[in-house]
Amino acid sequence: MDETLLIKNAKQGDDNAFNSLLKPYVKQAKQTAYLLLHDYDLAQDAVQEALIQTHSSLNRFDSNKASFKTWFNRIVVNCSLKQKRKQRFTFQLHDDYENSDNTEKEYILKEDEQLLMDIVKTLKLKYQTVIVLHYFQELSISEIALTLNIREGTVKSRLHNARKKLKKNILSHNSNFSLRGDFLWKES
Amino acid sequence: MERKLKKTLHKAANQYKFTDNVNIQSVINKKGRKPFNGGFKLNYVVAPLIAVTILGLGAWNISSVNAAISETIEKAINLIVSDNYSELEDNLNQMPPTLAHMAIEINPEGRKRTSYLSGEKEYSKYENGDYTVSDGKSVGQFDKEKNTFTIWKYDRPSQSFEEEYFKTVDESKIQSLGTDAFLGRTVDKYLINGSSELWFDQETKLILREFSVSGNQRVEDSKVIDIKFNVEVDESFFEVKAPKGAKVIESTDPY
Repeated sequence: MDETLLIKNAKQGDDNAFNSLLKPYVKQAKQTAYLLLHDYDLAQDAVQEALIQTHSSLNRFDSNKASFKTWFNRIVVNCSLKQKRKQRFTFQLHDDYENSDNTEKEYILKEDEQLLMDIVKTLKLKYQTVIVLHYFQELSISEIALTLNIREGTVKSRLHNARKKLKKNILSHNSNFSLRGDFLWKES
Repeated sequence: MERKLKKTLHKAANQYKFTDNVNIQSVINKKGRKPFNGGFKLNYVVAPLIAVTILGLGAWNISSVNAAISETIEKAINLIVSDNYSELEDNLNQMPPTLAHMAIEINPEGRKRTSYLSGEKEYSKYENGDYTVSDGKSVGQFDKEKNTFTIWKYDRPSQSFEEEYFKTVDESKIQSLGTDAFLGRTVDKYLINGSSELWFDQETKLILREFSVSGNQRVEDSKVIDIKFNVEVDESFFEVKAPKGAKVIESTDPY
């Protein structure tokens, strides 16, 4: 069944159509949320929230304004960022909401990859977001602008600044590594 | 670096087995269809005024526009709420550094907390001496029992995501419950069907009460028992500075 028909049926309350409509996008949505939140459980929670919002506001979706993928992606990013705020705005003590990251990872990253991820994590959220959308989701500038509802010029400038900060932080973060072209080199 | 970044992000994203299964009914049942669950009360920086979340509905002049409210709401209540987030932030940012809003609240376990908010700065203290403070750029948390003071860099979002969130909420799910009085203040009450009931202070646009709503049940997670506006504070009040003798832990993670 094509997407237009699935949207139509889902709007009429067909939950099976809704499930089928979202199936092609949900794995990447979870991965995106994970890259923004750095926590498996929070990522799952953010995507569940996004699914509920998508379900409850599907009637507002207008295919003339954006593709369904972009629209859903926008909700996912917003829910992830909202989840991030919930984390940080909690007035509870840190121990109360420390990551409960009990799900087992399939593998661990290599040292240089982990370093790069750690440095990405230190970027401001707005930079992390464009980095994830551009380099993980491989969205174009215009697609990112549509997803985040910001101007293309803003996307370009955020990407430029994000790259600049990444490079700077890589070089200053750990003296054991240096940046050569596309690679991080461990100095022995 | 860009190829390395792309490869690393993909690798990191695949560290867990995320599935593509979608079962919306199961998600709705599990999450109780509460899109606002916790999010509003923990809305602003250190969520100091927890049930006093800083939202804001009063983009209008109450006395003169009261009659027009219901009509405006019928037009697009979710967009009105959305618009008010940005206005709220503007209002807070205009606060002088020596003034703060203060609230005392009690959670269901009976734990009392006193919170202050001024612009992007926040301070919240429990009765046992634990506290959290943010100057808008970093956050410090003091654990009295461990005698540790943990500091995080704080990446404050430049825009309100609730603003975006409300744009996607179906306006038919929000209804006005009229006005009421609470702690000597006049509040506008709104019901987000199946989710929350919010009481907005007309003048300051803070949320003074918030209930989780499910069916006929209405539960208040944390109750504000006192609130004071524009109390004077020292400029150093929100400094992220460890108490004497506390072990300082600098966290490299973003808060």
